Amino acid sequence: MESGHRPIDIPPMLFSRVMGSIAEARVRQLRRRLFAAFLALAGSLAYVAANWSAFLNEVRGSSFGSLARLLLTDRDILFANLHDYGLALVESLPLGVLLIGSAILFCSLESLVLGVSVRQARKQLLSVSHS
Amino acid sequence: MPELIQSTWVKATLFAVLGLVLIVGGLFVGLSMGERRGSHFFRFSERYDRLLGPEENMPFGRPPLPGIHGVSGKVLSVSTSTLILENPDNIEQDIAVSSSTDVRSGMRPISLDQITPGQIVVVFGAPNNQGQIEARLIRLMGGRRP
Repeated sequence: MESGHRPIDIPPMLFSRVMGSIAEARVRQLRRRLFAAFLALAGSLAYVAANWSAFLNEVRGSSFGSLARLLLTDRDILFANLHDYGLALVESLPLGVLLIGSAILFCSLESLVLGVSVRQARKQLLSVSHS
Repeated sequence: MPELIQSTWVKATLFAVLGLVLIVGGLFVGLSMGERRGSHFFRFSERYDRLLGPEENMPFGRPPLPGIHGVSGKVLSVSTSTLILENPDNIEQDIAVSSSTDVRSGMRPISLDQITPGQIVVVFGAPNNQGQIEARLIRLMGGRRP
């Protein structure tokens, strides 16, 4: 059954234009995310710099390292009191340093991954625009 | 089998179980720690001046009260049954020493009277309701602080 519609002439560059627009939008989106990751990283580093002495005191004041080192020499006592030893390690964790360290690590990795993605997306955009 | 492992429902169930285990585990650790800290510090007011550390404006920093299961620090005084330590935050902590406490230096056992003020020790033990840590292990470290 005929629909009665006349076939439309498709412009020869339509496909590459659409693909180019998609690639451009992807590059823009990735750049925005990369900027946000850099901003978060810079904020975390600035926070560490502003509170450097507090972080240093937290690391120095924590008994975590000393208690963890007991594992090398006094395993017999520690394993006999495993519950207390677990609690000792948990309560001596330098939480502030761990939290900000994790945030810095996450933001660094995210920036790295997004940087690579931006580069790949730009290559894709160039190849689409050349074709 | 690989399809089953990769299915969304199985992944969601695994994450939910893992999350539940973490939440319940955290809750039990918190309850256990809270109960012990409560009974350890309920006479806090009697030792208020000895339990004040430096104040720091840092979120998620260490709690103002010291650890109750283990501590490292400088020996301030030694008697037959107690040891008083100063931890790196300048907080004094009382350590109860009994006949079951192991006192060690390097690979050999030593006696408590071989520990002198100024030496650095690591203590591991459990809290009691007298505000002391009942030491199970006292390890003499190499350093010495004035």
